[in-house]
Amino acid sequence: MTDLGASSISNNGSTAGRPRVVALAVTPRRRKNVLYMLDEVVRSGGVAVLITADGGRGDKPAAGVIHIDLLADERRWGPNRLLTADPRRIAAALTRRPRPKGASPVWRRWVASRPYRAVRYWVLWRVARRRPDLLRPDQVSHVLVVGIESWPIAWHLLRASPEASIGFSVPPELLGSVAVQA
Amino acid sequence: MTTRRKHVLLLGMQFPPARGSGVYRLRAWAHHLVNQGYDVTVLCTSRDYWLQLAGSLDDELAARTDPRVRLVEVEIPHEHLIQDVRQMSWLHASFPKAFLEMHGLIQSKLFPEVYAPLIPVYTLAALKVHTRHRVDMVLASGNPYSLFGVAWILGKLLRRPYVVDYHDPWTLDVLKEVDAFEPGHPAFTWERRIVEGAARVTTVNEPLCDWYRQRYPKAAGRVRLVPLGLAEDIVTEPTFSPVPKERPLRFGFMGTVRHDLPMEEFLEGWLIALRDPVMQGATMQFYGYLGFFARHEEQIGRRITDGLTPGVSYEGPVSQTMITDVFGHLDALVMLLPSSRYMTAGKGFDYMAAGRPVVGVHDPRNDTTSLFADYPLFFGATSVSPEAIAEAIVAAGRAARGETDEQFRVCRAEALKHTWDVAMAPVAGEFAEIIDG
Repeated sequence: MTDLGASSISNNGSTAGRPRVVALAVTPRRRKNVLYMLDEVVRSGGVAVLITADGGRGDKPAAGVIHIDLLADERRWGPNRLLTADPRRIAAALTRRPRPKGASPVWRRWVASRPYRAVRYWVLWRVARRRPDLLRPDQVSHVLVVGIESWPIAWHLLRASPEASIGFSVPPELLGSVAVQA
Repeated sequence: MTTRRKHVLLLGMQFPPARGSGVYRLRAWAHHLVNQGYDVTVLCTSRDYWLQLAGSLDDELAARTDPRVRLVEVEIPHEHLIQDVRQMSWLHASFPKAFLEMHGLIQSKLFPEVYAPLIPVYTLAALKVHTRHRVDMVLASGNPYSLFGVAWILGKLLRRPYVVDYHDPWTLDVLKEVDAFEPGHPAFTWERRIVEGAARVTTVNEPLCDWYRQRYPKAAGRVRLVPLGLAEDIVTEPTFSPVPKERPLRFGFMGTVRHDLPMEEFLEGWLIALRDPVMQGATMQFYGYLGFFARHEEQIGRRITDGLTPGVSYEGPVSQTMITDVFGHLDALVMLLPSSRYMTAGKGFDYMAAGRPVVGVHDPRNDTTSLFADYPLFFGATSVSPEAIAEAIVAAGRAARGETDEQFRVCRAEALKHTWDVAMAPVAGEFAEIIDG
């Protein structure tokens, strides 16, 4: 269930009363473990939301996991929009040559730069918060983090859901009798 | 004509009601110096900080602080130490990389330790104390070693002598017995600066004294031994009665159950020991906090509460003021320690004060072994292996079964040779001379 443009597919089924686990795996770090744990959440009847920011590369989440990829929205966010405009594409369009593949060189350089890495995960929260219909910050039961890149979104989710737990694994009580460790 | 009492400013992070092991040494310095006729002010970290970090306080111990000791609590910046996302500030949580890099920069520019942000705060608090009551000498007890940095700065600003008291070495990794930092690390420069400028450098055992003398030859003549000691006002004489023949033996551990204790080896050894008839039905009770930080509790607790080892149970934390009561109903004590020749365990004196057989579960090279050289009922494992530990447990069990009142008295007398006052008196006796220059 992945939408790479506006980034997601909505889950229209009723989720009231079911534990809602949000995994903040914005980088590929520990992705396999996260996917395994989210699969367990879905199997045990919970709602699993996976947040990534890498354009949906790598392993795909299991069926039933709501996947929100933030990369496309990140590129369109505020000043980033200026950097993602690729002059080579414009030139190619004008000269009717094949369009170059990949992101704009300026964007690639910017996204790998130290200043942007310092603010990127905050930018991802700014992008993620535009999707309250899928994220449902006030209904989160557990926030699954993988590292400090998860902190900005986790912090806001925990403020919206003060009773939610946070950790590197899913608490066994959310899975019934099934315990899952990262 | 009356002479002004000399004023000693103690710098430490932990002071009751904090509950870390460093509490007792600073408390002992404060009490010893106040009893020697000094005015004593202690700068320590606020109780809110400890409550947040450790999740609990020892108010009963705090209530026993001598009222003549003046306590000044300091609010220290600790946002960079918070690891619970829920408790972080917006700035910290939103820009974690930038936030941590900024603190890395402070450490590299100001002082090479994670506690460096406390330096300006403690320095200002100390200057405030000095403006109201002139400070004659500064004594910093570490870790954290940033307090030694504060002492060095105060030495420069106030032109007063300072003493640095190491209960743990900074640039020496005591477990691996090698340098704790890579060559060229600024910690080496700072330590040299601090040690060579200090009026006295004190530490807890002879191997460490020798290490400081060899590392800093210019300060070798000022290095002194101030061993850890027994707080006889807190750990008083427990009740003693011989173990009835029918009753199974009760073993116990008292202290913080740290993650680096040889727990697996001990539990294996305990299982082997239980095969001996003298150990039939014996129990092993752990008393103390699970790790120093609240976040480590669950992980450490699992090791002793999984129910897989017969007779082993976790009884929870005990205020320092209640130790005597606990010792009173145990037949033998098990002292689990990490293994290093540079390590001396202060709780060893508490164990001695129980007057009961003590099982030493640590490498014999650990300096604590030397403390028990004259303790008649010490049963140190010859190595940190389950078999050797089992052998020591069984030997202690036999001794506990046959312990007499006379043996108990001899053990207690040995403990009372190691009080804090005895440990501190020789060095504290030099302070008047240091202050007068």
